[in-house]
Amino acid sequence: MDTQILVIEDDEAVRQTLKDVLELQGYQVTTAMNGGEGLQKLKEMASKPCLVLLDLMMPNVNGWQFLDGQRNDPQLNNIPVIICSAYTESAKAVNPAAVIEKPVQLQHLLWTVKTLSA
Amino acid sequence: MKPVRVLVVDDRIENITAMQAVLADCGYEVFEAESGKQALLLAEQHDFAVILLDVQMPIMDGFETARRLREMERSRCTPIVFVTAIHRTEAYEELGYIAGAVDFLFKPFNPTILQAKVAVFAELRRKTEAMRQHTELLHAAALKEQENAMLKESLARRDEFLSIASHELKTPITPLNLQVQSFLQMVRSGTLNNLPPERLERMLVTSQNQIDRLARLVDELIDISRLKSDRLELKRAPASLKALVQGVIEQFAPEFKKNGCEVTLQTDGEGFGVMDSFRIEQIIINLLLNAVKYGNGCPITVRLRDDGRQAQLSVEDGGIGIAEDDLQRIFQRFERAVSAKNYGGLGLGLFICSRIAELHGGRISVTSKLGEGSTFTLHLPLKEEALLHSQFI
Repeated sequence: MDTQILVIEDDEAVRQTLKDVLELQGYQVTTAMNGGEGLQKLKEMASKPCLVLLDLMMPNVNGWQFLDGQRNDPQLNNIPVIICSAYTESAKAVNPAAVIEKPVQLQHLLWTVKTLSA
Repeated sequence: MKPVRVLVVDDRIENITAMQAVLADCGYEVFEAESGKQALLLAEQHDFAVILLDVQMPIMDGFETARRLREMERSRCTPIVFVTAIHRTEAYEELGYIAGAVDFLFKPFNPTILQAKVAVFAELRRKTEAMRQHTELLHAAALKEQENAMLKESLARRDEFLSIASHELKTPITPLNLQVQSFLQMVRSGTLNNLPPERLERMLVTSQNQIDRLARLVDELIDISRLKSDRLELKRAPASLKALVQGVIEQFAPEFKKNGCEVTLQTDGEGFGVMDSFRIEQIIINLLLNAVKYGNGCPITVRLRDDGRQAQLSVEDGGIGIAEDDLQRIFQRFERAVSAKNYGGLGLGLFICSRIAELHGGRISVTSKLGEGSTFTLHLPLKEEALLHSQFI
């Protein structure tokens, strides 16, 4: 399987663990520590990821601001975004492809990622 | 409404009786005094709408009584009408007005004139009283409204804190959950042996870090509850502030490196004194990690100065800084200068640290400029003052 995922998460432990468990399942994972870095990496990636895993509350450029940038870019706006947040109400309000509530359950994460990347 | 009170002062009982007879029909509560001294006593105990004061009295005459009434807090503004049989001259009346009269009544008095004059002051009294009650009501309502607003604000703040606290407590659970569930999955599918040992170790270290993080958050919450109930006790012993700072810098070196922050320590003295090392270390860690968190990866300078009596330990960063309006607020509970949307944490660190500094007889101060960084300084009494303060705890 050669499926790329972009993980945008400010908390280092969460970011690294998401990368670890997704890599163990055979995904290729690129990480970014905030919305600004995420948007930059997304624009620069030669082959675009099949989905983005996005935290909402982050320093500098937060998840909402990332979504603004991504949705206004025709090159990027078709990439599905999974919001990974403790605030599911706020997450649903931005109308993402899916919402994963923190603390994340492995089965829920893998099932959602698998479904959306298929 | 309270009845209007009138005080009649005359040394001749027949005059008092006559006036009482005229005023009784008007519904006033009439008090009588047969001397200046007695009048002063009554004026000390009651509020009168008007005092009808005979001028010619033995021992203390009306003018002297008026002068003393004016000196007393309660009767300072009570209208005084002089009652006199002396033939009216302008000079005489002037004396009366200087003594504090507002009007004159001449004997033998005309009942209609007496009633009319007293009625004016009674009406004034009723209106003043009504106005006072109205103002009191308004004041009470405003106070109540203010209390309600404060209550609402503190409830909103508590709700926000609970939401932030639950977010902070949930965050370390995500890596723990994912790793433990991954390991379980690998054990059950017999693939754990495929995991390279260094990866396994890294994942376990991350898990350990999350457990430490949860423990620290719980410690902060316990500290807050201890501070609230004055149960946070210091365990003081001789210690070196310099050694504590060096230890913390060494312990958190990987954290500084990871965030690209170079930490420099400049010392002028040992900072040797009597302190709770664990709690002072807690302050140093908090100030340094804040400098990393809000420091934008800029170099951090830690300075220790010690004049023998007091030590000053400052942590200077070149980060986002704090607006002047927020400088005092950040030391309060649940406060932070920036939105929780952008920076995590319970918003309790500085509050706890400044309380710990105060328990040591010291304090934490801050200077900062938005966009240019902040300097937080711990001022810590080292010897005599530290010991002196410890006796009061």
